[in-house]
Amino acid sequence: MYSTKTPKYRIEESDLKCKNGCNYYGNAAWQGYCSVCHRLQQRALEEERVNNLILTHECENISNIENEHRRLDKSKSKMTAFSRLRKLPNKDQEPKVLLKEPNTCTLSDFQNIEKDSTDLLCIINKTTIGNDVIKKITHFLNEIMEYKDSKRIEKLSDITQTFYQNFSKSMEENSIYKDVSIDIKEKLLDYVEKHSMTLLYSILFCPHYTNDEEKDLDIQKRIRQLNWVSGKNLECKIHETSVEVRELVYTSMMDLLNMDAAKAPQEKLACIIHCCSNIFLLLQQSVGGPASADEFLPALIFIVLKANPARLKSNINFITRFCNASRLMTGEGGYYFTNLCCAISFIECLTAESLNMTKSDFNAYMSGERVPANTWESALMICENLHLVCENITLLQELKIENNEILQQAIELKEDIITFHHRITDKTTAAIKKSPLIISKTKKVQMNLDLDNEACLKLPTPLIPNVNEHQYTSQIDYNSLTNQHNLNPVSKKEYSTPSPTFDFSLFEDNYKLESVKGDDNTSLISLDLHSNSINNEFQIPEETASINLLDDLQNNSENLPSPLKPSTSMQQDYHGFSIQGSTIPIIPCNTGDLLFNSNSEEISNNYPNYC
Amino acid sequence: MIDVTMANRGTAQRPNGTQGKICQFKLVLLGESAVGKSSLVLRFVKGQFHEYQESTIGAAFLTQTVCLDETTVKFEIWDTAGQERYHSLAPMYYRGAQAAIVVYDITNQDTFMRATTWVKELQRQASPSIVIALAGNKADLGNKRVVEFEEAQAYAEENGLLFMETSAKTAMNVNDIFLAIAKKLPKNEQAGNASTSGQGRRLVESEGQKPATGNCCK
Repeated sequence: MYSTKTPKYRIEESDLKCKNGCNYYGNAAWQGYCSVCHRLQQRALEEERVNNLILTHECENISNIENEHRRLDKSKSKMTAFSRLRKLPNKDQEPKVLLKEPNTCTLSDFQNIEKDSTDLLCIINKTTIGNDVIKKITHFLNEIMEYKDSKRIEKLSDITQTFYQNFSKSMEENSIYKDVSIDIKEKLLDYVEKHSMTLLYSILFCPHYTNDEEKDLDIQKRIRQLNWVSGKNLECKIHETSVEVRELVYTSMMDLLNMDAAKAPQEKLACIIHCCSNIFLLLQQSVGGPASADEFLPALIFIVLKANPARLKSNINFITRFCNASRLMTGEGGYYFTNLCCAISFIECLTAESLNMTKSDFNAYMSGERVPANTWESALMICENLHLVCENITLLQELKIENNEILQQAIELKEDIITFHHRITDKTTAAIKKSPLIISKTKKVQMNLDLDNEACLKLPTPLIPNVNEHQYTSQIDYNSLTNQHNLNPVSKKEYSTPSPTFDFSLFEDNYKLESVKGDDNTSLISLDLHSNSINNEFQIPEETASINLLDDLQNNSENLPSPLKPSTSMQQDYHGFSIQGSTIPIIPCNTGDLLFNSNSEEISNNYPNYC
Repeated sequence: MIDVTMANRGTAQRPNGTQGKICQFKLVLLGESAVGKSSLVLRFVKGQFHEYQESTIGAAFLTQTVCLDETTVKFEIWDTAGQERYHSLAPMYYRGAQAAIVVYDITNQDTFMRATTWVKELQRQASPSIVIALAGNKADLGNKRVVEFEEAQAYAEENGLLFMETSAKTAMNVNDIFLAIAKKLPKNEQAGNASTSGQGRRLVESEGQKPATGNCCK
């Protein structure tokens, strides 16, 4: 969770490149050179080594490994900024020191030190002070190297502290420093410390013969076990919900983590000071005024617990042993360092009482049986989940809107369908109204028939019965044939069917439905008669009517005396006609009625206003 | 009585003389939480009480310089967390301290009891030469007083402590108590030796200006 911020970038790309500046990447195994440069360097070193062996006569005492180290150290020290300063002391002493100098520091470390104290170096360089400083440092380094194999870190620490004391003492007492201001003296003391400690870092930091590493692992494990401890448990007043405060919490944790990357004890101390000033800043925002130690210590403990810095104990021990004691006892750095030590001590000795909780609760948390709900982590987790919930709610709202749109469109579509349906039914009713299905007399057929049958008119009246039975029959046959013959052209003219059975007048508006309905059950023959009598519009000429078989029959019955009273034999002859007359009218009449009735019913159902 | 405005005086007003010397002392503040330890220090160092300036971000570590006739005493004031749970860490703070102020709240009997335990602890564990002062804070709340002045004074005399009732709110006795400590502190050459016990380092003033002791210490 706290890895979101990366520690301060301490290795730059230029540090990774070959030291010869050939733009290839270097390798630590090749002393920071690329493979080609390293080989060249090796060759040059080999020559130098031979020369050195002759010059110093020290090789017998040094083991092979040390020999190797020495060789590398020498090449290294040539590159260091320190060596430039080192030009000042007498030349006889130099090689010996260089041989003993540990191969610990990189070029960049020295460049940083030099950069930090440029003005200081300008003042002391090429002066007697510079010479004295270098002499003292060299002496100190030699002393440390002498005792480094004694495996007694306390002894090394004592040597270092004595060196610091003697150095500051000599600055006060030695006549060559009498013109130097206090500020410069302080700076010089810092510089000496920084410089020598950076050089000796790998020898003095967490040496294998101490149990520093075990302690590091112990405290790390302890802090991991205590990951459930929240600000609330510690009664620390950090407003974890504020964004600014949280940023400062992260920054102060980063400062604390950076402590491990710094080399000189003073730099480490500076990291602690940074961290603590940030804690004060965040407490100022949380408390609303200058924070006191009552608020500061719990906050620092909280930060240490959440940051879980690497090699914490080693770093603390290194600072305690090798930082100038006067610096550690006084000043801001001393105060904050004491607080950090207190925080670590508190974490190490943390009990149920120190968190104001019962022993059973404490043990449950420590064993991992119970996971508290109020830790920083879970709070952030809840925040993340809440964020997710919010996102999902937004998504759901969007979907709801879309859904509503779809529903709206569906309703519109439904309305469209209804209006379309209405429009269609309106149109159909209008069309039906405009052109209703009406059963009428086939007057036009008759008229047409009449017209067409101009030739028929000229024909001699067929209704004059023949006495001869045989002649009569043949005449009727002929009539039926002529009728059939005449009907065909009529149907071609798209009028109502020419057959006497289909005499519905479709285009007769005057003809009422009622009249048709009323004659539902009447036969077509009677209907014809009836309509004929009612409707005078279409006068059927008597002459043409005579052609109609029915009319003929009527007329014949009225006017003609003889044929209406046929003999039994004649009746038999007539039988063929009557069959035809009786069968034909029934079929069309029923169908026509049924159709019309069902239609009108439907219409009246849909449009009650129609009637 | 001490001039209240003295609290605002910075290091610039310190007397500078050819023979003037600066003695730096570490002073720890002990006492139950909420007795007003940091208020006391803020009043002494910044002259503030509840009217904090932006620049004042912390009251846990502050320095203030007090002028005595021949010497300038620089106090380095280390505040400690007063909560009971941090009690065991206190020795780390008062290790190497030359002075300590044990603060209690005159309206709270418990804080006085805690103060007496602090005193006992200091006498037993701290450096033998440590100067201990007992401060009964919140003296402005006289109507709520629980710890009687006489009771506390008797206790202080018994144990050889400096004693004053103070009020960070009204600035009553705030500067006085620090001055009293400064006067009681040994300002000999040993005190200036930083090498052994971490006592205040003696720094020789190089500037040759006339001492101005009169305006700060009466």
